Amino acid sequence: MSRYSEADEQRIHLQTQVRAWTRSGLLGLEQGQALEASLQGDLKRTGLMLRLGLALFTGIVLVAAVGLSFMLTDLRSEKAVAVMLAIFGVLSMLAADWVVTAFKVYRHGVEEMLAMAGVGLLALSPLPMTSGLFSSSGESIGFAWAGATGCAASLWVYRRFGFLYAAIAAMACAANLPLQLGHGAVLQRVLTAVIWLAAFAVARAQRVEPHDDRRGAERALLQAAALLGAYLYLNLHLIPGLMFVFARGAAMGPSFYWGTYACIWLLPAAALWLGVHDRERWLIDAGLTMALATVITNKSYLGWPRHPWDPMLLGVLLAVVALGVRRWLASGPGGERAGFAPVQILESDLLAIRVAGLASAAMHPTAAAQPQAQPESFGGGRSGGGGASGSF
Amino acid sequence: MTTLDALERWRTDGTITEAQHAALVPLVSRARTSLFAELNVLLYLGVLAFAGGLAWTASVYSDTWGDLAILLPATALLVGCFAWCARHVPPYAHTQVPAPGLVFDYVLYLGCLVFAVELGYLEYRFHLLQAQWDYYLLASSALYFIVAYRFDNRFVLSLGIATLGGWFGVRFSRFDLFVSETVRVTTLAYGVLVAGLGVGLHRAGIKPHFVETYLHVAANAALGALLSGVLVGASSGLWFPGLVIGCAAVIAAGTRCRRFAFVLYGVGYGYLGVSREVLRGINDFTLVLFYVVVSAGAVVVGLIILAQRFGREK
Repeated sequence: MSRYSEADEQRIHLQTQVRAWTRSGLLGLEQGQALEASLQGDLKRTGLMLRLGLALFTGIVLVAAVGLSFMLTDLRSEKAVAVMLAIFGVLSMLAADWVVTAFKVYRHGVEEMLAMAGVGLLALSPLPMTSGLFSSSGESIGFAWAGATGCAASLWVYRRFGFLYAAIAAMACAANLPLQLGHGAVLQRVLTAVIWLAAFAVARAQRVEPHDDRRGAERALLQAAALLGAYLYLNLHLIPGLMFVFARGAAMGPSFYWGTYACIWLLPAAALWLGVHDRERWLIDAGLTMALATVITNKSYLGWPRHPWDPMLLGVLLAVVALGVRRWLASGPGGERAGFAPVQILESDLLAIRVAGLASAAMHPTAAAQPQAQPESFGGGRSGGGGASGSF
Repeated sequence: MTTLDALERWRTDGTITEAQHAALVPLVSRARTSLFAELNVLLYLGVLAFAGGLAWTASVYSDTWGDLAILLPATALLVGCFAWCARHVPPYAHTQVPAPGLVFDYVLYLGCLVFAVELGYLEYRFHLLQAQWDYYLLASSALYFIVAYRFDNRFVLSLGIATLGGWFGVRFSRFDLFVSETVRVTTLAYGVLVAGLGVGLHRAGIKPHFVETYLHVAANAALGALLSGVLVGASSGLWFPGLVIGCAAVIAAGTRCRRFAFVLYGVGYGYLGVSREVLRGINDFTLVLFYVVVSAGAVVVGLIILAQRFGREK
């Protein structure tokens, strides 16, 4: 079923590992080069940036090509549009398959975009038909069909090419289904979260050999994504005024509300525990992300007033946690505890810091703090003598 | 064959040493795992949250609490941060100097952010420089550059570059390509200055590892300004040839140095600019779509060739 053999996948994984070890100084340069050469196969790969560029421009070509086809054929009928979208979707996925076969590429951007755009087009294809067939309720049915089609197509792409984001897209499409079927806001969210948690259980139940680090990491990533997905739907205050606005109020009983409150504490704790237990950083990172979101939304959940100094307290909390964990780990035998080290081991550990360093260029707080950039309550101070007149 | 199997085979045939095998096996089997990145991210977010909260608190409670209640603790924190860093800083070297500990970079960054917040607050409350308040930006930018180089801190360097941009009137917090001619020229000048500064210091061997931070900002500022000139107005004038030359230079340099993010910048900005010129005056949407299919297809082919010749990972 898969376009890539197990041996190719493992060889590429080994190459990636060897490169990371060489960059981190764990292997000598010549050693690393020799090992990489010995692992060379016939699949072509490229770096992340060119891969992104190729994916972007392939997507542009596809969108324009689909648009052009519609312009040239001047289709009006909803059925014809739906069929056309489905045909384009299938063609796009077949094109991805052909690109991999003909050019022997692996994560090259082009085939990735072709496959995922195919998923998108196939998922869109039921919408024009159902909106015509079911009038007022048709849109919901259409989106349900779109979710089901998208889920099936994403799963095919995952099985065929091994794209992990396709598996995550399949989870998201499946979880989208209850939201379209009109069972009431509470049941919708419960079912959606249950689907995400079922996806987590499926990912966790996958049989992986204890020493198969590649499959183990993939499995951990899927588990982390599923837990994050469930969290997204269970935290009712995460995206205020957007996704869950209609889930609040009279339609939602206190048991559901406080049940979700318990869940948003339990999910990060579970992810962190599993991450530490399985020694999987994806799960630890997902747990930390959810824990941070829980702390940020806690006051909203409890209905407590927010204060301007809340972010300062959050900052102190984060620093205390980070320093406490570092100190605790470093005080263990050999500067580690249970194999967890607070020091950099691989060069890739610095990636987050480099990205954060670059992102800091988007901030210039002095400029933002100037009178022109002040919010309403701060306004008028510039000409008001000591800044006291504006608000009073 | 798993990674552990491969390591065992390499050890047996002598490709790697016993010591290397012993170091790598715990990493692969996850018996040894680093939490370094997670701890750094927590500290970074903590510093940002704290500085943001300080600015928010100062803006809301300045009238109620009085200036001293804001300025005294903030100044104490500022002095404390810089004093702690000054006490722990390793000796200066032109090359990269590792931070003496996990928190060092973040304490310094927090000090600089608190300084920025205080500066904004002081000017707002006391109007010391009034209309010339932007000189604060220039002065604080100079301070950040000095601190970044002395303490070898990437966060503060980015802050310095951004603050210099603030003095130039360049804002990175939003992508607004439809800006006035003056802002465009200023942004272009800023991009050229930042690039020149980065390359000059790199060539002088002074903290050469900082050069990419300069160049990422410079490339986006300069190419963004040139693209803005092409997009706005009835004719692009000199902006279009400038954009083509700029993009070509960025692509060539990025390819030569194997820094493909810059290739992507050049291709992206260049494609938008060239498309604008080609499609100027064309209102037929079908023709536009046809152009996009052909031109973006050509870009894909070009990128594939580039990837195979220069950016291939074997």
